[in-house]
Amino acid sequence: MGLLADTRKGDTASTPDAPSPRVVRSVARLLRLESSDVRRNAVSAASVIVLLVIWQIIADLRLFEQTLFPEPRGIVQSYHYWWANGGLATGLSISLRRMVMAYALSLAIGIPIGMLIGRFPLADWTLGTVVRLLQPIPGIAWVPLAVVWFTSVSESAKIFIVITGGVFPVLVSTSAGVRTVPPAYLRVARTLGVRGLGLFTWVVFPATIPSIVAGMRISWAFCWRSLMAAEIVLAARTGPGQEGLGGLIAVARQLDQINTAGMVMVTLAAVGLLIDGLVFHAVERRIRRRRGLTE
Amino acid sequence: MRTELRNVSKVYHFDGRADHHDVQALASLSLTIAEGELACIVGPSGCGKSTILNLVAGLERPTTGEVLFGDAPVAGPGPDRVLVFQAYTLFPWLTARENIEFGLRSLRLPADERRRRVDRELARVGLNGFARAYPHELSGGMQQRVAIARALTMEPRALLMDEPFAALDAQTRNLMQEDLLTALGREPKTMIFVTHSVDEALFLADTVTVLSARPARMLDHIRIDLPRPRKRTSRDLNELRERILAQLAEQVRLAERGNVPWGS
Ligand SMILES: Nc1ncnc2c1ncn2[C@@H]1O[C@H](COP(=O)(O)OP(=O)(O)OP(=O)(O)O)[C@@H](O)[C@H]1O
Ligand SMILES: [Mg+2]
Repeated sequence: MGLLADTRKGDTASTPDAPSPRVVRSVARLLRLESSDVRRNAVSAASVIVLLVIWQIIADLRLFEQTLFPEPRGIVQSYHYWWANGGLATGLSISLRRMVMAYALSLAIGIPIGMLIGRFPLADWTLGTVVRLLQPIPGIAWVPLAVVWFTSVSESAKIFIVITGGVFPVLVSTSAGVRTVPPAYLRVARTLGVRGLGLFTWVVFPATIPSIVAGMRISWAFCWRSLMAAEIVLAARTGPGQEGLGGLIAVARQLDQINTAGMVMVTLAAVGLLIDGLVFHAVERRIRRRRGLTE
Repeated sequence: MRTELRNVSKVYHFDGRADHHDVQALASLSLTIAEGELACIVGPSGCGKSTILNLVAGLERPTTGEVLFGDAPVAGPGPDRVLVFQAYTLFPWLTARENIEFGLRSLRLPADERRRRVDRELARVGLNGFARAYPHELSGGMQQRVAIARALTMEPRALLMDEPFAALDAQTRNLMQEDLLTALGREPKTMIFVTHSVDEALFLADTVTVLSARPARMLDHIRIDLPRPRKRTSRDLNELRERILAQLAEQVRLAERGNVPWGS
């Protein structure tokens, strides 16, 4: 009788010391790190937490002077402080507003010029040459010109600098995409009677969308960099957060608030990650799925 | 509409390369395809078959000679002569329905007429249930059906087919040939059908034109008056098959011996 019961138990594998096949399977699945998104995000989050803990431990060792080394706990305090006086929210919203404005302008300039350069050799030799000359100049190097052209306190000066950073990646990526449109698509369209501008809007543009989105993604990151440069260097107005996130860094530098600088950096990283993951990653994946470019 | 090539030659230039040389794809070729005829063209690989279709489609211009469609010389691509390509060339960002509708945009038809035509072609190629599928969700055979529907929806006077079934397996290919004949059964349409496959040509054609190795010369022109659907292994077709295969084999042998110039 006892023997029989034992055997049955063994068969269904429900004893605590013999884990059920289902548990084994799910653990095995958890350990295969490449599959689901949930698992990937969980592991990413865990690694960030580990990083923060190690960071705090090193800070607590007091190897460096406290004023020189931001630490997680101090950054949390900065968040409290700047949240309470509204500076963080104001800074974030001002910076984001400039970003959206400058980013939209970068796309509005970069995508059409990129399409022209990619499609017409003459545009490549003329406009393309100018682009290749200007492209290596970092946004920050435009500051003196921006100041003279727009005056340093103006919004335009900052937006101009952000555009100088943001316009080129999407432009170059777009033109490269246009050049690699399979000629077969154009031949198909032409034999179906499509000519001139129709080839552009119905074939070249849709075929180039993946490259454009890839470029938009890089441009977004470049806009952030240039915006911080512009806001730090051209911080003019006072009042908490009135000069955007970069303005907060400028304040932190003047007041030796190293944790405020740390706070802004963490905020930048978080916003960047959020937009990249929620918007660009999702859009790119959708396009790839639809066009059958995924495995 | 009669299609005619008059003493057409075509030279391709490879410019911008160190070892650049010109390729003579066609040398003074003359060829006539009657209105409503299903004309198959077979010939060794690289002999200039696609070139002929591209010239008729208006995607390429002859170096010398004339390409006529009806009474007028071909001046460029036009929706009265639509080319279906060998490789899968559906637009991956459009659904099957949108692909089929693609060329209609240039005809400026009203929306309900467009819908009517697209529905008709979807039914004709038997893809009603796949109207909303994207190309990568379709099998190779289905993709070529969509490509053919995309051409038919233009209601062209001539359909130019460049080895449309070459990438399909033998069974699918046979089925597609049968379906093509059924689909077109009620409206005789001029069709120039290029193929590697002698079997395919014999099954489909009113006339078979056999071309030599490059530059293409006409080796043989055979009219097949057998009723359809044809039995692929009938005695008549077997005899013709042997005749054409012998001609093609001879071309390959000459090419191997270097008797046929590859660049001129
Ligand atoms: N756009 C082009 N530029 C340069 N050479 C070309 C071009 N198109 C074709 N050719 C050359 O012309 C010759 C004939 O080509 P074509 O494509 O007409 O042959 P084909 O008979 O269709 O060959 P296949 O049966 O392999 O499809 C080939 O030698 C090819 O290399
Ligand atoms: Mg070919």
